[in-house]
Order: sequence, then structure tokens, then C-alpha cells
Amino acid sequence: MTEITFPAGAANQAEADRGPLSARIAALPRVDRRLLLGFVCVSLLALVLGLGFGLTTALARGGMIALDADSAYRVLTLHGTSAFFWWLYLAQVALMIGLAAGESTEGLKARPLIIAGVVVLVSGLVLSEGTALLRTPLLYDANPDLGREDPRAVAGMAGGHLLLALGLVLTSLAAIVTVLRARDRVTGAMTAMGFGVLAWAGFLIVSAIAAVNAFLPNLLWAFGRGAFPADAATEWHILFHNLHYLPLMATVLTWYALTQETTGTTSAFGSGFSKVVFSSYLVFVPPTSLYHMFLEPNLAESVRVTGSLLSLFVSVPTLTAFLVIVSSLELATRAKGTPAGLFGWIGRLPWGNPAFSAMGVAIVSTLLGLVFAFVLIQEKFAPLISDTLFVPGYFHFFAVGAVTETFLAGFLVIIPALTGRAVWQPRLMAAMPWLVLVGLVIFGACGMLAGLQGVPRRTFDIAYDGAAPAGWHALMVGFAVGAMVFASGLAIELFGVLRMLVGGKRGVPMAAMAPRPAGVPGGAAWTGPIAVVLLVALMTGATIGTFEVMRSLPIVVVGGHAGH
Amino acid sequence: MSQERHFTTRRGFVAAMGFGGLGLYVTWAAYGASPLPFFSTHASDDADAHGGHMMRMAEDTDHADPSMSGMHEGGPLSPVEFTRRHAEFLTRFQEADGSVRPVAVPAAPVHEPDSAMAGHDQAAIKHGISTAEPIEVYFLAGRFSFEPDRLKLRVGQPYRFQMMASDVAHGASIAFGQASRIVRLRPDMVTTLDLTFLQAGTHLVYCTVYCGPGHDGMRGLITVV
Ligand code: HEM
Ligand SMILES: [Cu+2]
Repeated sequence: MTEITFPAGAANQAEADRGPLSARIAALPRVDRRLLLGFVCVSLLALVLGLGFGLTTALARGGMIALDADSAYRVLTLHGTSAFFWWLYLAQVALMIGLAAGESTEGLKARPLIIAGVVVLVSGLVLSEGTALLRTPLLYDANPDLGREDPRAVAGMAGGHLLLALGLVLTSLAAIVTVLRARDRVTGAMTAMGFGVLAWAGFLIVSAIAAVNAFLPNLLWAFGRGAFPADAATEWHILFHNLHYLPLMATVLTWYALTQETTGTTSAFGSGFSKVVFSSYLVFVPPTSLYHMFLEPNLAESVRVTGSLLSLFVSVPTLTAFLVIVSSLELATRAKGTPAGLFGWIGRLPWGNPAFSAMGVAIVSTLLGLVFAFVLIQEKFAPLISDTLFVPGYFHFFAVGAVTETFLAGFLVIIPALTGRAVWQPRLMAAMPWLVLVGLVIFGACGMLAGLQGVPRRTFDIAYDGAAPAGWHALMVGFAVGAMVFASGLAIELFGVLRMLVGGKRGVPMAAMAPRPAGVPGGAAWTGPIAVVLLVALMTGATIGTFEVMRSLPIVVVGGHAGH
Repeated sequence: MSQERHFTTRRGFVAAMGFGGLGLYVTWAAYGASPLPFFSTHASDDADAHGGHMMRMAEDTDHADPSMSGMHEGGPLSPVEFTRRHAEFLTRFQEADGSVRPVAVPAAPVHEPDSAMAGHDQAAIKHGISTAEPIEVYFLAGRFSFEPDRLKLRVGQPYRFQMMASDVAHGASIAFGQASRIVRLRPDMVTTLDLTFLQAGTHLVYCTVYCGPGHDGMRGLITVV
């Protein structure tokens, strides 16, 4: 088995020899750099909107600003639409195109597809935001039930989502063509990153098809061309499950690129193994979608139990990728010297580099999110926490801490390479992800506790004229304070990123590390495995805690007929 | 040349650790929340036996299938039948202050919906306490209220909640302070749940699924005595 010997195999060496991503991006043809910058700018616009509406939502939920019901739900719709659909997906396009282009010295192939993609995506963004701003708020899932009296709202929201899907197909096809053409001329081999982009783009296309399935009937109904989409809720759940794992897969791929870029470390496990890990998302994610439906009355108990069991597998790709990256970093760092103790090597990582710091926070945030995601996949807990603030409380660890921080880290590498402007205030920029993490911990802790106590999500006035349980209000204030903290950190990061686009100092982009294969023969890498053990311990603790809360309720609940 | 890898840096080890999340299965099984094929043949059915009065989330699920109706007494209700019984339920048990206090009635068969029944006799109430047969409660959620929105129930008495949404999806959640118990209600689909309250108290009931501009105001009260 040559691949498990050091130094790492030939494919790894080839990846290391290509030089840093930032240099490859800087060397792209001018038109490609323009296109990439275009995607970056549009996605940042969506982030600005998502951040602003998110903060407004949080302040309203904390009782710090008063909004009438219509404005409150409009702001929530705008937040979910801007942040989830447009920011997370436009940023993915920017990164996917950037990583694909970086695979080849000749730059992007199929440029007309990309140009069409820009047009379609920008129109979709305008349509979505305009509809959310002006018509009946349907929330970001564009629920047609809520728009029976306002078919134009349904048409606008569904239309926006469908344009997003079309734009994703166009740009993904271009990415696929680009990485396929960039294969080794002689052997036809792909790099791990090229392969990852291929899997990612493929997953995006499949999800776009699911989006057509979910939203086309709504659009047709709104135009008077079809029956009312009674199955909208189910179609949405299937789509949504894929939709929220795609950003996570993109995050892991970006970590892979960032690790190489900011530390010079390539995988100690060979690029073949990375390919297996990347493609495992396609195996483990789609079958695990049931847990969003545990509260649905038309789901059989046996399906619930199976769904719970399957959901246990959903973390496999992410945890494996986490181990590959952390263990490779540990081996590479130890190879440079022998820092004291089990964890001393962590201090030697380039924490002063804003991109690395954001990635580090993203990894921590992913682990925190996983602890609580695994509470949610237990079907017995659905009647306790589904549809409560527990859900947004935990998933912002992923949406903001993991995914948004990672995408911004990617931009911190790509933008200087595109504009030639230096990173603004690198020390401040390296500190901000930690502020975001602090805010998220406050937001998450208060939100999840509130959810566990029954505070509903998507509900602005939870006083219920004094009938609400006493502890709710204080937790909502904490929730909003946490939001203010992470919104501040994010706003400063965003400002720094914008300064690299306009008005920032022209300078040499932050030096990327020369890649080199990782490894010390015979060295151990304990940190990753210890983190996984700790993670499982925390999951177990959180699960036991939730079971105990459930058992403490002074009520016996039994299904009416299931026992027969 | 190759030197042996430390086991922590082997791909097999890393791949196996990647499945670490499955370790949670042990905890689930310990709480009777997932099947344990090695020790018991019926662990998953006996959550209550192991877990004291642990809740089971086992609402009946087959209402959508008409072929299932009539399979067992009190089985799946059609929306039409639900609506009829709901109206009858309100007429029968509504009290002067507008709250609804369901009590056991002698058997089920043909009885006219009759408001004279509202001033129920004590014998029937006593009967309601002594029997373990659940008392039927019909609970309707619609934009933007619950019907009934004030329920008076008794400690220790099982109630069979038949619940439905009339227009769009709603939720119904009972607040206990330390946590709530939530169901999702879909339009025209009857969800059945047996509830027994073990302590006296007053509980907020509120909607947990955004259903339109009046969602925040959608609430009721359950008083348990
Ligand atoms: C930038 C990445 C973000 C993403 C992808 C994201 C995504 C989402 C999504 C999908 C929802 C659910 C919307 C719904 O239930 O209809 C949501 C809700 C929410 N988000 Fe964000 N969010 C992000 C950032 C933020 C920020 C920066 C804040 C505040 C500072 C924030 C605060 C909230 C609040 C308060 C809710 C509402 C919870 C509720 O009432 O149910 N989010 N977010
Ligand atoms: Cu409602």
C-alpha cells in the first residue's frame, strides 16, 4: 500500500507543486477575475441584507424594538430569504467558480453559461427581495398556504427560488466543464479539489431539480395553471434537507483549500481518501431527511424510528473531513518542531491570519452545532423542541459560525488575489471571528434553553397577555444580546472584506504558505480523535438532559391507536 | 521508504472515528427510544415501562387512508365526522363562562346533540373519574384561535384529544413551564393523542406554526383541577 507511506503519494505531491490558490487566482484571465468579483459582490450584498434583517428580527424578538405583526414577519421573511437562500448560495457559486478556475491555468471554461448565470441570479435576487418586501410575507419557505389570498406573493417567492435554481445549474455546469478540462493531460487524473468541486456542483444540480419539484407547482398555481399545491410542505422538507447540507459540504471543501493556503499543509491521508470523503456527502445526506418531519401527523411511528437511526449517519462526512484536516495539521505542525504537550501544537497555528482564524472558529462552531443537532434528530424529542426557538438557536452555529465564517475566510483569500488590495486591519479581522463565536454561544444558549422551555420559533409576541411561563422573557433578552454581539463581529468582518474591494490599501496580498506534504513518519495525531470523543460525550450529556426534562413533565402522552 | 504509521494516522482509524456520532445510539437505547436487538425483543414498545411516565410520541398516523377507518373503535375520523362531533362536543360541554368541561357520558351511541345536557349531572362526572376510558376532547385550530380555547380537565383522567386544523397548518403546544408538549396540525387531517395530566395547574396552549398575521395571538388555556 504505497499510499499509506510517507511522504504522501504522487497525487498529493502534484497538488502541492501547483503553488497557492491565491497565486493561481491572481493569474486568471481578466474576464474571469471580473466574473468572480461580480459573484463575490452580489453575494456580499445578500449578506448585508441578511445581517440587517437578522439583527432586526432578533431585536424584535427580544422586545427591544416594537414591530407590528406584518412588519415583523416581513423582516423575518427577508432575513431567511436573503441570508439562507441568497447569501449562502451566491457565496457558494463564487467559491465554486473560484476553486474551479484555480484548477487550471487557462481559467474558466463555458463562460457564456456563467454570464447567463449572473443575469439569472441577479434577477432572482431582485424578484425575491422585492416580493418579500412588498407582498404578503410567506417566510423563506414561500409557503403557498399563507399566500392563498395573494397569489402574486407565491409567484414572486417561488419565481425567485426557481431563478436561483436555474442560476445554480448554469454555474455548476460551467464549474464541471472547467474542472473536467483541467484534468491531467496525460493521466486524466483529478486533484482532490477538482473532484470535490465536481461532487459539489453535481449535488447543486440535483438540489436545483428538487427545487423545481418543490416550487414549480406553486408558481403554476399562482398563474392559474394548476391545482393548489397541497403537498408543498413535504416537497419543501425534502428540498430543504439537501439545501442545508450543501453549504456544509461547501464549507468542508473550503476548509480543505484554506488549510493548504494558510498553512501549506496537504492531507496526510492522500487525495484519494479526500475524494471518498467528499463524495460521501452524496451517500449520507439524502437518505437522512426524515428528521424534519418528525412532528408531521402523517408520518408512521416506524418511519420515525428509522428516520432517527438514519440521521445518526448524517455527521459521518463532516466528522471524517474534520479528522483529516485536524490530524494533517497536527502532523505537519509537529514536523516543524516538537511543541510541548498533547495540544501545544495548536498554539503554533497561524491564528493571526484572519482567514485561518475564521476557519478555526468555523471548526469549533461546527462541533458545537453538532452537539445540539444530535438532540434534534431523536424523534422522541420532536414534540418537545421541533418548531421552538431551539431550532434557530442551534442552527446559527452552522449558518453563521461554520458556514458564513468559512465563506468569508475564502473571500479573504480570493479577494486580495483579485483586487491586489491588502487585508484590512489583519489583527482586528483575526479577532472578529472569536467575537462572533462568543455572540453565538450567548444566542445559542439562550435560544436553545428558551426552546426547551417551549418558546416557539417565528413568534414575536410571546407574552400571551401574561399567561406565558415566567422564565421566557429573560431568555429572549439574552437571545437578542447574543445576536447583537455576533452581528457586531460579523459587521466588522464584512466591512473589512468590503475594504478589500473598494478603497483599501493596495499591497501585496497576504503571503500564502508554500504547500508541502504533511507528516512525520510514525507521529501520532491525537487531537482530532480526542475532540470526537469529547463531542460524543457532550452529545450524550445533551441527550440525557433532554430525556430527563421530558420525563419531568406532569403528563402522560400515548398515541391514540399506535399501541394496538 | 515506508515507516509504520501510528494508528491514529491510519485511514481506517480516521474513517471509523468519523462514525463516532453513532455512539449516541447507546443513550437512545438506554432510554428505550431505539430498538436494542441484543437484549430485548420488545424494548422499543415499552418505553413507558422503563421510563416511568416518559412520553411516547405515537400519534396515530394513518388517518389519510380511508381503508383504515373502522379498524378499531374510535379510529381515524374523517374531517366531516370530526367537524360534526366537534360541534356536538362544544354544545354539550360548554359552561356559562364559555369554557368547556368535558366529562364522561354514559356510552356513545345515538344521542341527540342537546344543549340541555350542558348542566351535567354529578353521577356522570363521578363516572368520568372512576373509569379509565379516555374522555373524548375535540380540538380545532383555525386562523386565529383554538376551539375550545378554555378547557377544564381533571387530574388523572385520560383524555383522548382529537385535533385538526381547519384552514392552514397550525401547531398546538401545552406549556408546563419547564418544557412544552407540541403537536403539528395539518388541515383536514385528524391527529389523535391520549393525554393524562398528573398535576393540577393552569397551562397556556399556543400555536407553534406560523399561520398568518394573527399567529401570535393564537392561544388558549387548559385548567387542570
Ligand atoms: C448570515 C447567515 C445567516 C443565515 C444563513 C441565517 C439563517 C436563518 C434562517 C434560515 C432562519 C429561519 C427563518 C424562519 O424561521 O423563517 C433564521 C432565523 C433567525 N435568524 Fe438568522 N441567519 C443568519 C444570520 C443571522 C444574524 C446575523 C442574525 C442576528 C444578528 C440572525 C438572527 C436570526 C433570528 C433572530 C431569527 C429568528 C428566529 C425565529 O424567530 O424563529 N441570523 N436565520
Ligand atoms: Cu396558528
